[in-house]
Amino acid sequence: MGKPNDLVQGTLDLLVLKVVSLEPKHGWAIAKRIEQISKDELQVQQGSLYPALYRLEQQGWIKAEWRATDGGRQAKFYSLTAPGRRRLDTELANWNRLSSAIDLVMRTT
Amino acid sequence: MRWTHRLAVRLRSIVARGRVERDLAAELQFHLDQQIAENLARGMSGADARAAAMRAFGSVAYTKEECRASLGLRLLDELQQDLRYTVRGLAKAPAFTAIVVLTLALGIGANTTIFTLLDAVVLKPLPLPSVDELTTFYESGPEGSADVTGGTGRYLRFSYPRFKRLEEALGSSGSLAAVTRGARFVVRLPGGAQPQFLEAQLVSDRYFTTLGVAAARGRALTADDTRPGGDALVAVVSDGLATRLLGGADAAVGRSIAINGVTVAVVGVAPPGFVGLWTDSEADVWLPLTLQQPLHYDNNSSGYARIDPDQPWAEQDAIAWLTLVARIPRASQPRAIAMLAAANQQGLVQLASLMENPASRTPMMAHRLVAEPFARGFSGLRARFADALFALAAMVAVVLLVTCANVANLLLARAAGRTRDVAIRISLGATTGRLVRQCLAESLVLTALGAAAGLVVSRWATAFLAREVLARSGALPGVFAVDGRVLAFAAAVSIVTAVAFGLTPAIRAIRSGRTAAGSGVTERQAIGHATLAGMRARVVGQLALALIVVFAATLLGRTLVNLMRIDPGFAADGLITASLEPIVSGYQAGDMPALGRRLIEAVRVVPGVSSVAVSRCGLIAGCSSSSGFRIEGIENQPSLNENWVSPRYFATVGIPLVAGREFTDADTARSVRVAIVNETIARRYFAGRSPIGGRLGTSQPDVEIVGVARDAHTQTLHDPPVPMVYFPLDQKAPYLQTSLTNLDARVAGDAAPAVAAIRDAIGRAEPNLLLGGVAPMSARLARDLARERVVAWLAFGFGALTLLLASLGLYGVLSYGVARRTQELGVRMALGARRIEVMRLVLGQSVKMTAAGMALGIAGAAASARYLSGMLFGVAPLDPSALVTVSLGFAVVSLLASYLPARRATRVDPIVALRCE
Repeated sequence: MGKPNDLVQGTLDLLVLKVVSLEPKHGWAIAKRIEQISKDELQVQQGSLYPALYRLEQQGWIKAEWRATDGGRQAKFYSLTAPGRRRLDTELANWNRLSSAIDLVMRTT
Repeated sequence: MRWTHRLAVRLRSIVARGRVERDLAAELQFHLDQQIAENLARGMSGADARAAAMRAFGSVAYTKEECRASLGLRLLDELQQDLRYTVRGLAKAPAFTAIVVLTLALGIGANTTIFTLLDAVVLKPLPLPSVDELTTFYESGPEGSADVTGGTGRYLRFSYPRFKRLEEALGSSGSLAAVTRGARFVVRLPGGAQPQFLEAQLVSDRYFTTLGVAAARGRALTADDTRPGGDALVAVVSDGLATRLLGGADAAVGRSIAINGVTVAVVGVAPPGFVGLWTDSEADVWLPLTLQQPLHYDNNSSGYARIDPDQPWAEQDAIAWLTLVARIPRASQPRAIAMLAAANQQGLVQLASLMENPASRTPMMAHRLVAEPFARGFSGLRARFADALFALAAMVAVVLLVTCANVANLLLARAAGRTRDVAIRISLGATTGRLVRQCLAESLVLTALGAAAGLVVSRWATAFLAREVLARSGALPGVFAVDGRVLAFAAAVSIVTAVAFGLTPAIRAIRSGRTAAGSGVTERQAIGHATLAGMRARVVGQLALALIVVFAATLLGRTLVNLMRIDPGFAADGLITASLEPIVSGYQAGDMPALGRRLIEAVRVVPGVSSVAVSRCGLIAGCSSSSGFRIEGIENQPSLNENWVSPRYFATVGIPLVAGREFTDADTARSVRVAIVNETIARRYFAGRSPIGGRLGTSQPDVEIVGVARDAHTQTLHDPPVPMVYFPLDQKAPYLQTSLTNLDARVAGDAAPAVAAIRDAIGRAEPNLLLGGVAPMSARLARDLARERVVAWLAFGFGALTLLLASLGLYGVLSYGVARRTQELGVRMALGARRIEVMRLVLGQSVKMTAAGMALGIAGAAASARYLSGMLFGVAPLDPSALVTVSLGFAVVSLLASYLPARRATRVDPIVALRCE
């Protein structure tokens, strides 16, 4: 196994939306969750996660609120908004189309 | 929806900046803490866990910066940084900052001031709805065209019957209104407060509807108010008057005020800001036209045939006293105006049939109705000052150009010192856009400071100048207030200025910084020859522009001096004049001779007064009266100016008699009717022979000429003396509606105490007589030259300013050149160059630039001087002596500006110069 893949440009947004769609999460948990689900195949650049979160919040796709974690500390939890859910659906459809197309090309040649 | 959300987030993050920053820090800290906790759990030591977490995260500052960028805060931060950097930089160079801000303040302030005046006097439209539908009318006749300044011109006015005829012809195609030129009326409030002079106008019933003005309180005038013979005693007052004197707009309606002795009820209040159709004065009261007779309105009228001024004017077709304004939709204007012209022609035929002299009928019927767009209203100031203001606007634009060039050169010299700084920034990865933004931030800050100071200067200067051009003290018409238009102009000028002087130095600084960043060259080399050439070109341009302005100022200054040197034809020194208002004070026309005698008796005993006289019209008082006269032995009927004067008038005002005698106490109503003519009449109509013993008169030549007076500038110093005939006050025909408006007293010694004593004496003798003012004659002469004085002094100021700026520019570039060449000069000196040769080197530069600037300037002056010709008196637009004087002056100033840099060049110490790099 080589070096963990850097995220393809633009896919981080999709992953973030997907991860917070199940339940509200703070930044650290979002990064961990992505790495965990991808079995450490996808390594989130911690530095680029937060600007992405701020951008998505500014677009109105996710919203943030401060609340206590299980450990009792205050953290900023992000959750999906209604426009964010619509956005996730479109992005997901796009992604599926793209990946199956690439898949198709890879398999036939 | 989406963008509103984004905007809301952005605004929130800007407003709640502190909270955003705290949240951001806390969030990232939380992340790091989680990572550290995880590392510790894996068994790392405390320090290692922290270090590993930091490493995994990367630069916290950078992440924060990226987050801020996501929130749109970065641009704001950079702007703030630029501003802070700029302010810090400027604070470190207080002399530079002060000079630049002061220069810009003068440039922007001067432009704003002149724009305020130009806008108020020439450009600003009336504050009425759809002003492009408004039209005014005048007649042009074979005798000449009308003066369209609104009511002083003879052919601008129409009779009431003619107005009604035109109103009927217009029908439903539009709306026609008639209005008189505003006159000063005496207004007394119930409760016995001091009577006040207020500007009032008589208007027709559709005046307010035509203009599109609805009463703010109460009602406007109606057809019932202006029915002839109806004499409805009503008035509409301005919002200003209601507020000042009647306890506010609400309380004003229903109150009674006495105007010229007639008690009228206030039925309405005009909306705030509406002050009539004259932009250079503000009307306070509007009354029905039908009150002309009860109110003794007798201003600004022309009689075309036999008239009876003591009968209501509304019934007389031969008295022209009304100015017309129509509102006609744009589409139907041509047709409607043609209809009106046709109706007016019928009216003229009717009027001609009333004329006694058949010879005058044909010229009357040759009159034509002319329609003029009326969006900007009437203004006597506009006619007098439009040319002058445009000329001054051109001059201040030049001042601003020179200012920009100067500031640009100052910034360039400053940018040279910054090359290393810029080079470092470029090396650290600053983008060009960012650098330009930073340099422009500096010019914007400088301009903003300059504009703020300029607006302060401008407010003060505008008020001062408006007072000068209006030649009066007290409140100014609201039209001169600083409004949104003026502020928008100042802002636009400032931004254009900032970019104009800021962009070149910005680009230059970046370019040289880039060179320096690449090669490590020094500042002095980096600023390059091209920059110096640009600086020199700007100085040449400055000198050329300064020469144009200084030359124009010289011409205008000479004009003023020439006018001041004019012999007025009377002895102005030691003459004190009082303006009288007997008609509005309640005196009857028949009282005038007796009133005159009483006034003379009262003032004659005032200490220091040697001689007193009264007259129908004062000298240079804006009062004139003229009639067609028959002169014995002359075929045609010339129009002569006339005045009625008391005995000893000529001795008092100091107009010498060249032949015959002065009026005496023996010239009474019952003695032989006599007249005195001036030299112009003698020359024009009595060629070669003495007019003494000749006869003239209005209907028959039945008045004997007993004297010839020297020509005098009775109306204005600007125009040559007019043909003038004087009659004794006692022999004034009773039907001639004339008042007694002037008293002249000759005093010995100090004028000030005499002015007060004369006012007191008149007040004691005639307590009911209202005085327009008592002042030395010199004040009237000064007022007559207000335009020339204001224009000349402003031009002088602008000329001095541009010259100062241009010579500073020259000085700066020469100094800079010397500093750049220190090494070279040192080598020359070391090799034995003599001081005089080094000096010649520097002066040679100066001479070249000055010569180029002067050549361009003279060409520019030649091209532009003809625009001034209408404003000059006694000096040609390209007066050679003025040109020589100005050129010599420039040579001297340029030498002075070059002397210091040249001397500095000769003081260069070869050793120091060679060591310096």
